[in-house]
Amino acid sequence: MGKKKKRKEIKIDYYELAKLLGYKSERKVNKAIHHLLEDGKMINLLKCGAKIHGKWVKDLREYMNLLTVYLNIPTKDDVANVGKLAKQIEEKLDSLEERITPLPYVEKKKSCKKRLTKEEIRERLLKNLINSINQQNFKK
Amino acid sequence: MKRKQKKKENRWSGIQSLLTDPQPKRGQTPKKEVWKINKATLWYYPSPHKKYNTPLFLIYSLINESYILDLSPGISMIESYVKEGYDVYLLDFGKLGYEDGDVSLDDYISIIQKGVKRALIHADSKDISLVGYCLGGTLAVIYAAIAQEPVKNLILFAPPINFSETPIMKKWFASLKNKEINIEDLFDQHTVVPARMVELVLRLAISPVTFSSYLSLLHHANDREAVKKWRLFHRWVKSHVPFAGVTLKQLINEVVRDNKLINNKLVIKGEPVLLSNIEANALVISTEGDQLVPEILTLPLLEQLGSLDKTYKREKGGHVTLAMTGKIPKFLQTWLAARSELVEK
Repeated sequence: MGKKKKRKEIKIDYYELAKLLGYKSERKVNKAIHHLLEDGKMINLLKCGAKIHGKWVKDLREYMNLLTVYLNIPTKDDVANVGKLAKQIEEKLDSLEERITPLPYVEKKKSCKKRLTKEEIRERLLKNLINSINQQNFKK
Repeated sequence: MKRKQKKKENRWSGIQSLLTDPQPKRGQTPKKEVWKINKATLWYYPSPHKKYNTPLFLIYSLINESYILDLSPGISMIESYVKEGYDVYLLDFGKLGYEDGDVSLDDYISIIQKGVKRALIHADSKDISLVGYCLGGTLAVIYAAIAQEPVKNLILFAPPINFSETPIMKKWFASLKNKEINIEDLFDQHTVVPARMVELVLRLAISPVTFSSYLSLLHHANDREAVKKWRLFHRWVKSHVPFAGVTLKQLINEVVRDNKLINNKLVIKGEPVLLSNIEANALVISTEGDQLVPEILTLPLLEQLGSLDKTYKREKGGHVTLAMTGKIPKFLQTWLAARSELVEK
């Protein structure tokens, strides 16, 4: 009689709910966008767009280069060429440094696929078998 | 009631902190620059209590910045490797400039090769373990196939290798395979593809609209640590790097369209990239919720590898979950320890 009925309190975490709903709606919106993008017409449209964009960038760059001649200023390519020279020097110094440094390991010889002996094939097969058993155990 | 109110206050103060607090520091594991060429840097993370002689050489993707591997103390993969007793070398490709437009896939493999050499010399080690993340995994596979250096272990986290089919953007993929889409002109003009463009293309392919991450922030806003982690991760997601046009063309045309890597037809630096040449112990990991690199892009690699010791592991989580957990997964810990040389005492 004196027992108080404990009501189960149902707590709603609105933030978690918002997160879940947001995640679900995001997936739906993205799916719809992907569906739209997968349309043949859209692919053709973007293909043309990319072509026009490429041509536009090329023309713009050519006009800029022409303009820099009259303005007597270096182009971005000119500056990049100086950078490339510095890169070349750095690479040469690096390869020199590499040559004079002794290696702590033995370099592998460059070779194509070597022919295996019978014993090597047997060993390989055995190891593959052990491997697959290990793999199954790993999955378990 | 009081407690509830406090929690509410905390939540909004957590959101407020986004505007008022300075950006949290990233990459705090002690490191030293070992080698540098052009924009690439080889970082060395020494282990305070070294247990293994075989160092780890980490290769990250070319799309984002590599600091995801060392986000912050407690959420750093590098920190956990170091704590476990491994010396770590991280090859950071840096941000390309306009002058690097002609950097090709061959150049990236050369940089990896030189980096591995430098790491081996610096560590005075006889062999090394390669760890490749995402596209860095693809690069690690290409390098391992033509490596002259002693690569003992090859660990790959979601490497996109097989492009016979794709679960996303199927019509686009078919158009690319049939050579209906011509990317040559576009990339020729954009010598270096801007970071913003890389981000837009990736978003378009995976998730064009994203707002759930902000709702997730709202949900965890009363937890300061969660807000900090969110800020670090959010900044990293937005930190795309420019992509060299020549490399992108090579990757799209040869690796994706013609699927040359898995078919052993890729040629790098004049050498055929034969996956059967890889004899290192291999561990390939993929995650169930990975939308960017689903299992189909990774799994067929295992059959092609020449390694005698190869393992495949499928884990729960998304594309970068494992890099963000801040601890080495148990299976990786066991696998790597069994295949690394112990320091003699």
